[in-house]
Amino acid sequence: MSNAGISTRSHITNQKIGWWCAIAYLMLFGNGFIMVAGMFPPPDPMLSADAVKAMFVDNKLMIQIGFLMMMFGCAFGYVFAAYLGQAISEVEGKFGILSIVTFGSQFSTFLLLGVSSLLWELLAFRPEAYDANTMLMFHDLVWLSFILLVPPTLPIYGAMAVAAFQDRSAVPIFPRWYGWLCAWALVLFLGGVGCEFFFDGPFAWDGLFAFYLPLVDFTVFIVATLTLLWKHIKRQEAAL
Amino acid sequence: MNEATPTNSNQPESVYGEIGLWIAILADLTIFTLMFATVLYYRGFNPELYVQSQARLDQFIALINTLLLLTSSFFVVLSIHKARSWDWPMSGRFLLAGMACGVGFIGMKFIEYGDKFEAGINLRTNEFFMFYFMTTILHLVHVLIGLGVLTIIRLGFPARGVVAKGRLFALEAGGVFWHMVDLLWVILMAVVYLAR
Amino acid sequence: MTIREILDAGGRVWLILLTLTISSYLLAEDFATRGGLVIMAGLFAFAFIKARLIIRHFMEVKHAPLALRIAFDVWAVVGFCSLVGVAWYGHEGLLN
Repeated sequence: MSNAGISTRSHITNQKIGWWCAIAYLMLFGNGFIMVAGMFPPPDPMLSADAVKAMFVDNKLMIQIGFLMMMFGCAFGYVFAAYLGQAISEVEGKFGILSIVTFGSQFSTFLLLGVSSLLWELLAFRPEAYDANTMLMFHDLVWLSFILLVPPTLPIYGAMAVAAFQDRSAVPIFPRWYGWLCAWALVLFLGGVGCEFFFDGPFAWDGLFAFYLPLVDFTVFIVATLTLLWKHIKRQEAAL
Repeated sequence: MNEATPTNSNQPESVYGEIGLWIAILADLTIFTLMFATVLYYRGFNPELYVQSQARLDQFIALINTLLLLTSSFFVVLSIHKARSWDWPMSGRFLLAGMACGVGFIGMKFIEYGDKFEAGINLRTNEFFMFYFMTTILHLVHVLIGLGVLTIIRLGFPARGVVAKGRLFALEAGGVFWHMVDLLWVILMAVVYLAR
Repeated sequence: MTIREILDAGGRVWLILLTLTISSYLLAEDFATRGGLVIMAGLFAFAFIKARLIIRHFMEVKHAPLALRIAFDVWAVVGFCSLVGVAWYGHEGLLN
């Protein structure tokens, strides 16, 4: 980065912006989805069409505001995706396959989450006027797209695990244990892919293995990632 | 174990030093145990359904599969044993034998699933078969991952006379994962196929 | 490779595992009838004994640092107790 127009100090500042964008996206997602829209615990997939319609009619405004927060969360998520891809490129020494996979897969995740949120906004747009069965179908679509987003996100964990294992530097950004964490996260997310088959039980979209365990899994992953990235920023600052 | 120490990496000296591996193994064991406990929990609501559905499983295929995986694990143990005395050709043969048993397991699994589909049973038939298919498929994914890992390790085996650094470590770590796949199946067989 | 070497390298454990597997298969033989909680607990005990043999001898945790040995034993004990506990809970009809 010596011949670049941006100084090393500015580069570190930009990384900090990326780091805080991750916090912003987590806050907007968590608060929008759980607190404002009230989607935690998830609605029962067995809900009747009328119950789904009533849910959107009753909580219309809060759902609209909650998913608007999700949309803004995605905006911050793009910045975080770029930051994460850049961190992997530092491990690789160039913008190689692992960085591109990490960035691209993360980017597409936020793109799909944005579309998912948009469909939620549609459901809350004028629920009084919509037919209850159509709403049921769209409601199934938003939840299936939300949980079935899992397979397209798996390359992130794969690429980051490979990066951690192949890193030969003395002070790696992502140590080997982090590689194992990513590998384990990848495997655990697989429990969610059964959600299109079931309306009930632990593999349905509100079940233990499709919703709660992946949520715990993601929390562990993101806390570990942000901790390691913060340490990396501090090391760069100390080396200035 | 003369020239064994791996260098030129941040790899620990022994497989016990690879803390992440062990935490991932323990975490995976815990998740699967949780899943088995979930099966037994739901079973409590309707034990008759579970007993009747379980009678439609092929316990004999499951028995053969257990024996295949145990034997496979044992071949991998022998492979590591030979690699430690630096007899790589013999180690490679044992590893291939272990992988062959793993492939046999997958073959048996497909025969079993085929029988089920032919009998009109799938993962939406009832609650028991939901658990049966989800647990066995998630286990099968582990078998496929394990076989992939063992294949990569086998491909990295040293050519004649050349000793590659870190090979023994990779073999030991891959072996630990493969044994975990084996032991998950042992508990799965007791919970899904046999427990009444 | 002599028989002795094979036995010492884990062959004995392998034979014990095969015996336990076939025993638990025979123990649960009549698959269509509902057995008792005792048989179920026995099957789980066999399974976790086998699991522990695999952990100790195949994964070679018996030579591992103490913390690792304890961690695996804790998993085995907690796992066995929770499976039997949940099975007992359902068996007693406490869920209905």
